[in-house]
Amino acid sequence: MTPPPVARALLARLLPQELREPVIGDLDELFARRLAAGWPRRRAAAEYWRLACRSVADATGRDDGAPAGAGDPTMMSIAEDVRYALRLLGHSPAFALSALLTMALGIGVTTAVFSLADVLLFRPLPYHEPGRLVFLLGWDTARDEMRFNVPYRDVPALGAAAPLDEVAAYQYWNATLSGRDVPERMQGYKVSASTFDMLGVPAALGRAFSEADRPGDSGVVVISDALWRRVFGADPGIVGRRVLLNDEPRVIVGVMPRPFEFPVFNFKGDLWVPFGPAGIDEGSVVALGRLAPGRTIAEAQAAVDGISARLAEALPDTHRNRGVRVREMRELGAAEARPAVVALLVAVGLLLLLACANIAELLLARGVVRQHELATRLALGAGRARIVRQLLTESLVVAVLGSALGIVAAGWALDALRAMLPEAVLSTLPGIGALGIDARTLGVATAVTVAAGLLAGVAPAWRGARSQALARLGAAGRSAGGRGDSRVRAALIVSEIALSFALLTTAGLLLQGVGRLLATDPGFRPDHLLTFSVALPDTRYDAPGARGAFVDQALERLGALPGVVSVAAVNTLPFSTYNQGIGIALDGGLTDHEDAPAANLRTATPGYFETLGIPLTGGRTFGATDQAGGEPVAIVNGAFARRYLGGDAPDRHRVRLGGGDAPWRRIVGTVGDVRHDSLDQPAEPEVYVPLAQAPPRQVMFAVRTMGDPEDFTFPVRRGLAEVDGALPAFHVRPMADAVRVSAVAQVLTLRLMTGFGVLALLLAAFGVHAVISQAVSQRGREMAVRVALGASPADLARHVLGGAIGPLLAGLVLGGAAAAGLGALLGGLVPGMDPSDPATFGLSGAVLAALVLVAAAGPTWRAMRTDTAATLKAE
Amino acid sequence: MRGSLGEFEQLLLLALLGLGTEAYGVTLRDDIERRTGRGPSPGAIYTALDRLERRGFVRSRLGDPTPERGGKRKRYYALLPAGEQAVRASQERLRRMSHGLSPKADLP
Repeated sequence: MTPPPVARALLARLLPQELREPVIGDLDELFARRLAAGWPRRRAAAEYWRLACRSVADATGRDDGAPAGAGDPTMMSIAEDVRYALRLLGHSPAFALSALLTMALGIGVTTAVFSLADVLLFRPLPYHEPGRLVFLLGWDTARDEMRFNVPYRDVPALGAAAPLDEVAAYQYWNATLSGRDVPERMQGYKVSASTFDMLGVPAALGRAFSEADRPGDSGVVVISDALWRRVFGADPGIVGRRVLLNDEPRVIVGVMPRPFEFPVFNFKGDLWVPFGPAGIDEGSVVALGRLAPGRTIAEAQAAVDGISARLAEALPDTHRNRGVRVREMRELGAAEARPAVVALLVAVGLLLLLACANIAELLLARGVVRQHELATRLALGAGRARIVRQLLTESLVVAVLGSALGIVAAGWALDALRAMLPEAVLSTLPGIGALGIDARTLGVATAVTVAAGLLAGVAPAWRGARSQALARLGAAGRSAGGRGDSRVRAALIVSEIALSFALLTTAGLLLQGVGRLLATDPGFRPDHLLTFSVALPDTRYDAPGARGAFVDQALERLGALPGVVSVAAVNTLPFSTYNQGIGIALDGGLTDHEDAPAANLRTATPGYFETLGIPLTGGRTFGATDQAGGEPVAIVNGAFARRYLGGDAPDRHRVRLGGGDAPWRRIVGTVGDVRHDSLDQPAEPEVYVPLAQAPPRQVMFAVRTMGDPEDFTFPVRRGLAEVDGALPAFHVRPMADAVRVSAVAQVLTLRLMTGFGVLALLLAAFGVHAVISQAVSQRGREMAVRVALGASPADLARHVLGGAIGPLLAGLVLGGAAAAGLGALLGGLVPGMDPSDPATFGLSGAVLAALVLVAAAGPTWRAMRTDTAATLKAE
Repeated sequence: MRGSLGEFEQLLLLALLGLGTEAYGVTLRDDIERRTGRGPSPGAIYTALDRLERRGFVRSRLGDPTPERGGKRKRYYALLPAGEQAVRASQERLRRMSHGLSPKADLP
C-alpha cells in the first residue's frame, strides 16, 4: 500500500526544495511502519495528511526560534484573517446560514443567467474565425424588410463582390432515409460544395464536400455525428456506405465532428448534400459569405449593392426592388434575443445588489455586537487599515463560500431550464445543448463573487473602522447610532425598496403584456388539432395528379378513424415555421401602386377552413367541384382584401399567382385573418387555392379530434402507413403546442422575471425588517427618554414608521425609473406590453408599502412596549 | 542573546545526544514524542535542524534510499561539540534561573 498520493504531491510542490527529500521520506517511512504495526490504512493516511499539512505550515511559517526567512508576513496575516472569519461564521450559525444562502442566491441566479446570455448573445459561433462570417439576406427595398431567401442563380454574381472571400448557400432539403426497418425523416440541407471549406471545419471521418464536388455530383452525402451514432451505431467503416435518401441511392463520404452544427439559427442539419447540376434553378436559398481579411461589413454591403443594382437593371421583371443586406452571422442570431437577455441580465444584477445589501445589513448588525471587540483591538494598536482589511476579508469569505453553493445551484437551475425548452429551440440555437457551467461562466462568477464580497463589505468595514471614536467615548457596545449610522440605514432601506420595486414592477408589466399576448386570437381554433407533415418524393410523386390522389386517399382514410371530426391538408399550416410567398397580379390594375405585390400562398383542401375553424366572411369555400381540371379559383383573407382590393367586392376580381403564364383565378370567397408565425405579428395577405389545382410536394395535415389530440398520434401514423407505407409522418404535434412554442421566449422571460420579482420581495422583506429592528433596538434609550418625557405609545409608533416613509418614497422613485427602463427594453420582446402601465406601478408600489409596514410592525410594537425604567437603568 | 536556543532546539539537541549515530527525522520524532508526549512534524524538525546546522551545532550526511521511504534517502544528523556546549549552557542557565523558585520548577 502506498501513501496518499495527493498529500505526497502537495508536499513535493509546497515544501522548500532542501526539505522535500527528508520530510517525504520520513512521512513515507512512518506510514509504512504504521501499517506494519497493524493500523488500518485510513488511520495511517489520516496521520500522513495531518503531519504533511503541519510540515508545510511549520516549514514555511514561523517556529519558536529565530525567523527562518520563509513566509510572507502579509500573506500570513491574510490567512489569519480568513481563519478568523471562518471561526466567526462557525460561532454564529444563524448568521452564517442566512448570509451564505443570500449570497448563494445572488451569485447562483447571476451565473445561470450569464450562462444563458453567453449561449444566446456572446459565445462565438463554432466555426473558423466566426467574426468574418455573414448572412446575405434577401431584402425588399420597397418595404425595407427582410425576405430571408435570395435566388440560387444570384449566388455566383454575389460571390464576385471583392470584400467577400467566398459566398455559399443552403436550402432545406428534407430527406426520408429508407431501406431500413422504418423509413425515417431527416432534417437535411442542400449546400454549396464550398460551404464546409468556408466554415473551416473538416470532417471527423472521411471528407466534407469541397470545390472538387462539382454541382451535379448528386450521389454523395455528408452526415452529422448525431445521425452517425443514432442510426448507424457509430460504425467506423461508414464512409463509402450506400443509403437510400428520398428513394435515391447516395454514398456517405464523410461524418462531421460532434460539436459541428450547421446551419445556425435554423433547424440543425442531420445530413448535407450538394446542390444539383449547374444551370438547374434551385429556387431560393439562404446565402452566406466570408469577409476577406481586413474587410468590413460596410465595404461588403457597398459591393453587394452595386451587384444588386446591375441585376435589377438586367432583370427588371424579377429583381425590381430586390436588394441584399449583409449582416454578421452572430449578430443576426443575437438580435432577436437581445432585449430579453439584456433585461434579464439587468434584473439579476439588481437581484445581486439586493443580496449584497442584505448581507451588508447582516454584517452591520453583527458589527454592533462586535463593536466592543473592534474598539478593543483599535485601542491595543491595530491600525484602521488592518481592521478594514479584516472586515472585508470576512465579507469576501462569505461571498466565496456562498458563491460555491450558488454555482452548484446554478448548474441545477440550468439543467432544469434546458428541460423546459421546447424541441424547436433546442434544435435551432447553436450551442444550446452545452448550456451549463463552463470555464467562461466560472470566470465571470468568480469576478462577480469578488465584486459582491467587496460591495457587501464596504459599509460594515467603514463602520468598523469608526469604532475608534466610540472607544474613546467609552460608549462602545451600548446605545450607539450616530447620524452616520442612520444615514447608512436609510441608504440601505432606499436601495432595498428601489431594487425590489424595479424587479416586481417589471415582472408585473411582463405578466400583463404576456397575458395579453397569449390571449390573442390567432384567427383559428388551435385546440383539439393534431398536425403532421408528409413529404412526397419526386421518384413516385413527380406528377401533380399522383400527389393530389395521395392527399385524397389520406384524407379519406384518416377521416374514417373513430374520434376524428374532420381532416384537411395544406401546403403550410400556421405556426409550422414554414411559409411560402408568391408574387401576384390583379386584373383591373388595382396593384399598380404596389411595386412588388406579393401574398402568402396556401393550397388547401375543401375542408380546411372548417377543420381549422377559420371563419368564412364572404362568398364560398372550396368544394368538390374545385378539381384539377376545373375553373381556376382562389379565396383571399381580410388582410389581402384590405391591402390590394380597397373597398371593392372581392368576387369582382381575378388574381394571377407567380409568373406570366399562370392562369387568372377568380376570387370566390374571403376568410378571416390568421396569424401565421407568431401571436404578436399581424396577419399578412394570404391567397388560398384548391390543393387539387396545385398539389405541393410537402403536405401538412390537420386532424380535428374529439379528445386529446396526442391520443391520435398512433392511429394517424398507422392510417397513413396504410395509404403509403414508405412515407413517414414528421413534425407530429398538437397545434396548441406549436402556438405555445411560438411564444416560448416571452413565457420563459416572464417566468424568470416573476421568479426574480418574488425573490426580490422576500429579500427586501428580510432586509427592511432587519434594518428597522436594529434601528429600534439601538435607539432603546432614545425611546425610553421620549416615553419619560410624556410620549404616548402611538407617538412612538408614528415616530418609527414616520422614519421609514422618506426612504420608502425615495426607493419607489428610484425603482420606478429602473422599472421604466427595463420595461422599455422588454417592449421589443412583448410588443403588446405597456411599459408605463399605471395599474402595475400602483399595485407593486402598494405591495412595497405594505411590506415596509409589515416589516416595521414588530419593531414598532417592541418600541411601544419599551420598559422605560429598565432601559434607562441598563444604560 | 548569542548562542541562545529555543525550547524546541534544545529538545532536538538533547535527543541527538541520546541517539548517537542513528539520529534522523523518524527516530528523533519518536524519541521526543516518547519523552515529552509531543510529536513534532517532520517539517518542523528539519527546518530547525537546518538552522542548527547553519549555526555550526550539528552536521548532517545523506544515507541510502530505502523502499519503505519511497526511494527517498535518510538525512542523518550528529551533534557537534559546539552544539553540545550550547545545549549544556542553555540547560545551566535555565537551572540557575529556576533554582529555589518552587520544587516543581527545580530541574534535576
